[in-house]
Amino acid sequence: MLEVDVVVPRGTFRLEAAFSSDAPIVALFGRSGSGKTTLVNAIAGIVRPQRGRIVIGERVLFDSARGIDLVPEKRRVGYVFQDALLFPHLSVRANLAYGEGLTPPAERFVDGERVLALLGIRELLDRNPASLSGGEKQRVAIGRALMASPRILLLDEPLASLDGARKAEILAYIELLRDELRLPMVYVSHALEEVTRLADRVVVIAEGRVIAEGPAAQALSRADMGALTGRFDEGAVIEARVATHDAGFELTTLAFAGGELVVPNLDALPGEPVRVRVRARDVSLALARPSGITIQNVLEGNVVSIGHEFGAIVDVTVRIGDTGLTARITRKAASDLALAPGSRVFAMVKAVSIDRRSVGFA
Amino acid sequence: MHDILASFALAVRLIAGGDPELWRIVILSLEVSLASAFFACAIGLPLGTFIAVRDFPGRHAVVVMLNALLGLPSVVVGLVVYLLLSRAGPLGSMGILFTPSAIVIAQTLLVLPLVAALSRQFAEDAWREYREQLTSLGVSPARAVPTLLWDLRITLFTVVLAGFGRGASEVGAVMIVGGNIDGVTRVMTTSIALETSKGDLPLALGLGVILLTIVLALNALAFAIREWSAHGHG
Amino acid sequence: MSGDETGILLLSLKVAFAGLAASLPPGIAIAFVLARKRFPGKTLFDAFVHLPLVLPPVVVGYVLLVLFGTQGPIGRLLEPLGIVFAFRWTGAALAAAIMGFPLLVRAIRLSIEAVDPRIELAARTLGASRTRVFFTVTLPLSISGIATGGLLSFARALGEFGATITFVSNIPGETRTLPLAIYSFTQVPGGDAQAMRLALFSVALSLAALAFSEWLVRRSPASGHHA
Repeated sequence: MLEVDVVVPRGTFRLEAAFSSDAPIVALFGRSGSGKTTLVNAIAGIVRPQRGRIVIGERVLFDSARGIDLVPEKRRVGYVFQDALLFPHLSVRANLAYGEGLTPPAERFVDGERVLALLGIRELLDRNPASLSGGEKQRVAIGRALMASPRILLLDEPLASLDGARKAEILAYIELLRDELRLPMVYVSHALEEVTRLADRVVVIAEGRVIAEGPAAQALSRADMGALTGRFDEGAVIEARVATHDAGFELTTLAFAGGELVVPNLDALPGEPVRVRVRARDVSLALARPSGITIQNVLEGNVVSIGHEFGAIVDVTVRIGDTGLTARITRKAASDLALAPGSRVFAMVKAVSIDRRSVGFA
Repeated sequence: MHDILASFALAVRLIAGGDPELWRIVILSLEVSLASAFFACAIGLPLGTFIAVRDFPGRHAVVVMLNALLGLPSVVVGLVVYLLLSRAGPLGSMGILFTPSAIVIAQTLLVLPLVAALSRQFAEDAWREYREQLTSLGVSPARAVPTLLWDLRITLFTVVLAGFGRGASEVGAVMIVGGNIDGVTRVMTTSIALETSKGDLPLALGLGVILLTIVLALNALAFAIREWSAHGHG
Repeated sequence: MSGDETGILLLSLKVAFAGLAASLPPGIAIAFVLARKRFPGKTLFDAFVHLPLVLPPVVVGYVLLVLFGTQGPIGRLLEPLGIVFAFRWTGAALAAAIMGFPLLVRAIRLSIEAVDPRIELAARTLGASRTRVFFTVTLPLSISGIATGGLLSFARALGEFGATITFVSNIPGETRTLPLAIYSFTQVPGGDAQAMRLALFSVALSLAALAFSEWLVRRSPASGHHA
């Protein structure tokens, strides 16, 4: 159980945040400069809070009231940095062994062989960090942090300096780690897509404060997410379960509290819980159930509110059963269809718009 | 400690009282250092600027030679001048060995590469910044050197100060070509070096105080100029 | 080359090496402090470390004489311990060390500053104490600066004249280093040839040291160094 409650003044900025988590991965989500990195730095002991308390299980890392402030080297907190920060003068093997050698044998619980296998870094052992690609560096960095048998693993935007294909690759590795090792992780990111994929529990941070905390779908479905995610990504997160697969057309049907969603084939077993991100710009509305169109997902519901009237575009929140969806349409369309709170509408979501990157497995 | 304090008191008395021997040494030092700074800068400032601005045949050779001169131990430079000026040497007939002129020659050779290197550095930075402006204003490469010299006159003055300080601090080469002859080629540095072993502490101390004051004043002045130009010219 | 000259050469090398060896630990320590720490009076301290670069060598030699001479406060303290600098090669080594010190510190400091402090933080999260981080991460990554600084300081020591002659005089076999010997031979009739030979050696040694440091600079660019 990770408990954090700190106040950290940093120049013109003041971080005052408290959260707790029991989940395998808790994500700290927010824009650049919102304070999330300061928060993990406080957990690692790199930054000293003005006051507060940081506890992992029964181990107190920081408690200003009792005058406790463990130095970083005593905290057993693993840290994966955005740019790997491997030791350039040591081989990959020596990098990996660095933390392991500093951990008392009695406290070593990580199986080195397993880590090498999980991250696929065995063949890199004799290489030099300078000769590694971005993805390889990051995998070695994760391995290095793990080999020191940390109690908790912090990852600060580990994918930020990687390109698209590498991102997906490392994301998959992190998912694997989350499922295979029983090691709590704190994942810092400003990318909604990474957060929805990885985390069951999300702490949303803006301007140094926690503005939402809880299960992913809940914490991320607040109306003011736009400021944090950027206009493009704004939308809803739906909790669903895999229902059936259509082998012939390679589609998967997901069931949620409000209906069903058809998406391109997901590699998951029936019954598995998933989180689905549906972007507002991918949702259209109709007054009647249309026919003869290609859109696979037509969900019946009611307009809850019409808001954010700026310029040509308007956001309409729609309730489908127990679930909320946001549709981004033109103001003209809203006017033409005479949409108002309570209007009965059909929300349409292209199956194609819900790709692998929009789905996270709980 | 007692001895030092006593010597110090005596030294102050020598300075304040205008002791002729002390002040003769100081004046001579200032004369030769000023002369060598003058010659070194007259050649070195334009030379350094020229090297920074123009490419010319033999430029690389000149640069290498200057760097070599700069890195040489000063006694070696002094020895070379000595051998040139000694009776057996090519310039022996001029008979200027063991005279202040010899000291000026040796010091000039030591200060020149320093002045050239520093002025080159400043000129290079300035040239990089203002090259386009200057050429668009119609300043031909030939006029660039005098233009830069004038533009950078404040900064280059600090180079002159550095050159003067370097000359005034030199001892090894001066001892070889000058001989530290009382009343003729005895300067502050050679006096301090040799008087301390002879035990004439008050004289050495007094000269040391003056030399230190001069060098510190030069550095303070150069620092002030740099600060002023950094803030004033932004 | 005569036996005399070999002796002078060896003495010079002994003095320069001893000076370097003695100045490395404090040089590294001070460079680290200047590179990484902030404290009141840091600028003043930095200026103080650079004094030997600014002051005339004879003045430095004189100050050393006052402090470490037989009558000096530090000299008197160290004498019963068997450590004597006055009129000994140890004094010449001390003068050489002090004159080259600013060059040493400057090069090492630059090198340490080029080491990304976040790499040091990464090491600490892995369980390394500050001391261990310094010896296993910072130091290895700044080795090129240490080598360069050492060479520059060594080269300076080989050419050192003013501070040496003022502090420990010109005692053959004890403090008559290469530069002092060159001067001494010019004072002796017929000594010009020997002076020339020694001068050639001096130049050769300086050039070798400088060429070596150039080679070092060229051969180890970024290894953990960030622009």
